[in-house]
Amino acid sequence: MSDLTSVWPRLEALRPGREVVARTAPAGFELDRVWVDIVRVTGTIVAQDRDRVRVDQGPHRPAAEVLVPQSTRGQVLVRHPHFEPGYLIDVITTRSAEGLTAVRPASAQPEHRADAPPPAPARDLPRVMRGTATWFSGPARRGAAYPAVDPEGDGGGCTDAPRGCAALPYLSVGSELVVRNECSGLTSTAPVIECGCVAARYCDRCLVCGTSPRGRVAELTALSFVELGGDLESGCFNVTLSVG
Amino acid sequence: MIEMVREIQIPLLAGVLLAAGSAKLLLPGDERRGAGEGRPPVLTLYRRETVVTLGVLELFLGAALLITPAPAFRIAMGVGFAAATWVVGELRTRRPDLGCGCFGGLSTTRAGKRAELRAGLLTACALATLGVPATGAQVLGRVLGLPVLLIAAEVAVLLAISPEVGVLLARRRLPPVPCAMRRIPVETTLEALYTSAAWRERSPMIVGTAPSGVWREECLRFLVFAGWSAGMEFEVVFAVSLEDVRHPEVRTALVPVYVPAASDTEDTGPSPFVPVHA
Repeated sequence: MSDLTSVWPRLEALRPGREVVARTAPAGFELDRVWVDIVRVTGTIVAQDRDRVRVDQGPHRPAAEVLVPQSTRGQVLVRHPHFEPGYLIDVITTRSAEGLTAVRPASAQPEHRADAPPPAPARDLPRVMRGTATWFSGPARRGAAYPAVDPEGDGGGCTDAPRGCAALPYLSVGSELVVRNECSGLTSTAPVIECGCVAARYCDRCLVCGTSPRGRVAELTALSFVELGGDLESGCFNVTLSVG
Repeated sequence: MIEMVREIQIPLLAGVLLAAGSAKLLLPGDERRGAGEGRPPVLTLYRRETVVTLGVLELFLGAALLITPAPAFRIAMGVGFAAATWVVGELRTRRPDLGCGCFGGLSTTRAGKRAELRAGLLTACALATLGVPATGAQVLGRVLGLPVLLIAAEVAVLLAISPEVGVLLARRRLPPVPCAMRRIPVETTLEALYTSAAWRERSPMIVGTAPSGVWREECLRFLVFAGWSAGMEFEVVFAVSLEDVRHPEVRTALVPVYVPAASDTEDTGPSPFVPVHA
């Protein structure tokens, strides 16, 4: 670490026993960013009481309970005006003594009901797909959850996953994606490790550098996301995606 | 007045059944074609024979309503519409990604409240016809008169033999969805594979008929079968193009089964460095 290393959410959080994700600076071995105990919660609100929500994160991830404290509630509600069961939620949280605590919303646009079908995708399939790439709290390895995993045979897709609003070809778990971060210019490959049936429900845009087309085309693991120059707390970057 | 309202339901419901049956037979719909929101009709999940049977039943029931007052057909119609109402209701809440398929490939919008209301209304109309002594044709003759019926029949025949109608429909048709985005059941691929020349060529060495692995990459579906030839164990891999699902291009390769050494704890799947006999 150097004087230029920034720690999320703050330097005091960096203590032994905490889980971190770190990114090296583009040139050299010094750390550029360190995220401490950052967890993203993405899914459908299934229950809500005064300041806590329970979120169904889909068939591949455990359900999560998130505390939305008064200090960040206003900010979260701006992006989630329908903060009630049945609606989608996407928040960046941090582990604390009270459990997962919401820090900020992870999407740029208000979310809709989880069962509202997204607009049908375009009928032509470009060789290189454009859209937004987000990240998910998953295994500590390179990889991506991809919204259009074939539900037939051993493809690994979910039979009840909706078709996302981005036009994507069907692939299988194990297929290789070539992801280029349009914001940083970095390119990397990521194997499909999971069906992105949760990502398929979202039809938002990423506004990190310019405005991406609608639809999440890949949900990267935290490792793949930071490797491509992404900032975990901002939640997304614009990508072009091709099949390796 | 009430009697008249009950009577006119018979030709109306016959028309609905005839239209629904014809649409199921002539415009089956698949993931490639659709209008509006372009959702695949639920019937595309079933075998073509099932859809044809349903369409023929509807045509038969529609024709029967026109020519006979037998209560059995009216009851069958009522039960049919009630079942349809239930199915559309289930689709609305459980499968918002599918169209109802009520009118075959034309019903590609999401099965919503309107479709459910329509099916419910038709059930009510069907119940109203119970006990009406007239046939649909008699009611039509009474309401419209013979000259109007003759004109309608003549126009229908003329339209049926006019090639311009087909051209007009073709112009309105949307471009097909690329095959990489089409959801295609494995059964369809297997049926096509079993009739291909590549399968016939390799089948003597294939053990069993069920694939040990099936996965998909864009427009290709890969199927792996266990194989045995000249004392060696092989994996017989077929790559089936999904461009033309009925008569696909099939490529095949033989991959010797890689037996890992005792010390080798790495991936035991097919190795990319083992020679492939295509």
